Amino acid sequence: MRLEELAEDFPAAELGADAAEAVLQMAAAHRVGIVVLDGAGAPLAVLTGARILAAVIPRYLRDDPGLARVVDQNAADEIFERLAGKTVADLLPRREERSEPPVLGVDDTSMEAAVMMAATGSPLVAVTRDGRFVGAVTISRLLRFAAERAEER
Amino acid sequence: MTPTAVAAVVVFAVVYVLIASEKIDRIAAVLGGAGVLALIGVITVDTGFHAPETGIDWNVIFLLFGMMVIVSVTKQTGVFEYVAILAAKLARGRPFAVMVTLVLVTAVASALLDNVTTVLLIAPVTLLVCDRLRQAPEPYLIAEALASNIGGTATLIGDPPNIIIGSRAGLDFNAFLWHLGPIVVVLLAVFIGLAWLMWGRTMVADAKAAENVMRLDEKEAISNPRLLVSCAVVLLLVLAGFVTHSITHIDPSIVALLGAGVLVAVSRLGPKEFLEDVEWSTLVFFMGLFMLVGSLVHVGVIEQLGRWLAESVGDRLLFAGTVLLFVSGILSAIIDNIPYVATLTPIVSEMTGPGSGPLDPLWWALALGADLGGNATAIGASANVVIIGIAARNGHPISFWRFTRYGVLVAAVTLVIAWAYWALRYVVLA
Repeated sequence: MRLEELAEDFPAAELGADAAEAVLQMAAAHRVGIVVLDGAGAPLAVLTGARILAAVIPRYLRDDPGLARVVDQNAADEIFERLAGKTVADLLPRREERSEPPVLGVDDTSMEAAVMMAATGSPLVAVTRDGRFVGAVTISRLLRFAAERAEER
Repeated sequence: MTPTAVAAVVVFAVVYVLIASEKIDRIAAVLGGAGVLALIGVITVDTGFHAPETGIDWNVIFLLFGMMVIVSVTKQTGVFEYVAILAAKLARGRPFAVMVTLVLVTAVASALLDNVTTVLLIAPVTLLVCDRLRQAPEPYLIAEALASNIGGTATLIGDPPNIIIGSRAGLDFNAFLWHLGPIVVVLLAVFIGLAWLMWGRTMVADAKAAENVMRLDEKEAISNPRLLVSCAVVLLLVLAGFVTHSITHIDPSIVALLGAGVLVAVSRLGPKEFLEDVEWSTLVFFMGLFMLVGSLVHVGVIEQLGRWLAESVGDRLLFAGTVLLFVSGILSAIIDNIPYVATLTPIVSEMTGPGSGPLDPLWWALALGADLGGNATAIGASANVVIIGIAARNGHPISFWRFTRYGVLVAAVTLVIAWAYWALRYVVLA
């Protein structure tokens, strides 16, 4: 099946957008991430929820996870308040550490999306028409489609 | 010198330059050098692997390995985090008092554990405490690296150079504690005074931030109380084994291995966990280094050099000790003190001769110089390099010169005080 038929609306934000607002948008849509766009509407990166957490949770807590138990709720709240004043660009890995965004065209197939997700570990693939973002195929959407096809056969 | 001796000296010098210049990895340098010496017949299986004077010092390797396994298991209990947070809370969140308690915890832990391990364990807690205290963590992290090098000087197992000296000179845990322990206590007190001048006097307390620290729950850090009890018992037994060496005659390496074995058995951890903190690269580096230095012993270069130095020094212990302590201090600030001490120990051994002799205090001059000199620069000791790496990863970069500015002052003051202690104890009052 072509991705045009599989793609769903998906939250997206530009690099300079407010990080906290972008995260709220993602949470409100019950999505696992947001697609980051450039000024022309082309996907630059997929910002997953895990990456957002990694960007706000201090490195020392990730180095020594046992310390997460000793902080109280106030401290946890303050950590998440660190999103304030940040832009979406601040949450992305440094340019040299970024990998190519998982992007396919509307004419590409579900198999190509599956291969890309498996190869990159991304939970979604951004779908574009003429280079502009039109939606995304999530892993759950793709698996649901595969399961339905299996039942039909 | 014979052609073989010349070849051994040339290979050794090239390897040293490669290590110092960091052109290639230090492990590749020592193993490459050892390989060349094996090819030309200087190193054989007997001289390289089995002879204690010319080969790998397995006492050092297995003492380090045993302690690394003990740390790997003990770390799983969360006790290090518990102690560090408790220390910060005992200081009631006052910024300089917190620095003092963390410095003392680091120094004591470094006397019992490897310095690098200590700073790796203490740094994340320090960053958390500083975060809650709303204090810049850089001064705390620098102070901990410096304190770990001072504290590690006190014992046989505190710093790798001491392990090498202990093994080569036949000095046990008690000897290090007796000879170096008192001065380390003095140096720590002086260091706290310096820390006040360097950082403490400009720190501003914040009552609300102090409350944040007091709300940290250190008890939650303990993840496995049953294992903690086992670790405490085994650590005490290991320490008792070190202290009673003169009675039991069980070498420290065997004590550490037995302790590690018991902990592995009672913890029921898998190899991935109990070998987690074993620094294989360090152990392999030591092996290559011992073979390289041993080759100089084997071809007679060290004996000639030691004899020449002993004749030059004569009975001028003060002169020899002063030169050794300060030269060791300066060189350890620039190059890795482990290869330096590995090279110097056979030379000092030749100078002091077998048994107890008038130049025996030179061992303490070497240990004090090599251990304390490492504080002078950002690259002078492994703990400094590690702490700078952790700071950078957490968004608090510490430049080479920023660290060195404080390190040079601390190294200079502690080396002068250590020299005064050494001269007073072993020359004036001897």
